[in-house]
Amino acid sequence: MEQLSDIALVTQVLLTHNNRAFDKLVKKYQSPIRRFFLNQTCGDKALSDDLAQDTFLKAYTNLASFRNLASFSTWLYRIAYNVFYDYLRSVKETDDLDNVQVAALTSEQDDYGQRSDIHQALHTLKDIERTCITLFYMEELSIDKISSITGCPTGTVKSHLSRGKEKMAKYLKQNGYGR
Amino acid sequence: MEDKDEILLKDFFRENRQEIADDGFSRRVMNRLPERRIWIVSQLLTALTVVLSMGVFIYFGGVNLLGGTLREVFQNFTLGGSLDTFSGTEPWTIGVVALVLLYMGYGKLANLPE
Repeated sequence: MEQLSDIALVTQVLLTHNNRAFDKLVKKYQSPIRRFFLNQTCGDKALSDDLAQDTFLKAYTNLASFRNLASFSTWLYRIAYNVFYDYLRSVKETDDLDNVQVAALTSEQDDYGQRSDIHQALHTLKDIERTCITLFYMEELSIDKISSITGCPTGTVKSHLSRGKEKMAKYLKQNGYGR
Repeated sequence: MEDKDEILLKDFFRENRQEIADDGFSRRVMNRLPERRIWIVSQLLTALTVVLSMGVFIYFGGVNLLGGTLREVFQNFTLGGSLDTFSGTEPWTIGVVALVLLYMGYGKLANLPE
């Protein structure tokens, strides 16, 4: 039903250039997409919002390429994933990635971007492990969907999940969780 | 059976899952849509063209010409003219024009800001 309403909104945007329909899609998915970026950047709110904006703009300009082979949310996460890894690549070209991660850790945080245990814990993971762990545990997506989003085979996704889970559990136990 | 680490992580993420308030985010996205910028440019170009056309029209005495023509039409109409202006037009032409106007009207209404 949810998928049907998404398709109806996409159709309205494509056929009648009805921007209000796209506005509804943005309002519906802004929270999960911004949360996805907030977790990938370990709590950098400003950067997360910039990347989320880019994601929705790319979705709008490429809406015609949405072929309904995947659900709209999976398609949107796929764009978000590409936006994030394009950003990482562009930063790697100009700077050392570690510096970016340190910058994320020390950047200003506000209410929802508050530096919290979750971002500290996610910081212990590699980028791809963090992506798989947050999509699986936070967004509750299936391994098949994570595989479509990241372009990794399901076996590789399972390996990232297993390693990420081990690291995070170790960190959480060291910090008083699970007792 | 789920292992302890699995349960630990599931509980941890469930507790830390937060809904992020819009706070003007969607408005900022909508304001940055590329088509909107093209639309603004096209509106500016249209306004500029209208102003220029009106200037040329007035400069070359278009107002007097239009006044004369309207006067002539009015006189013809009142002195024995009739309402058969559209008599030569085929009904399907009027239908197509009405359909196009309706479609354009719907497009305008659909894109009006809320």
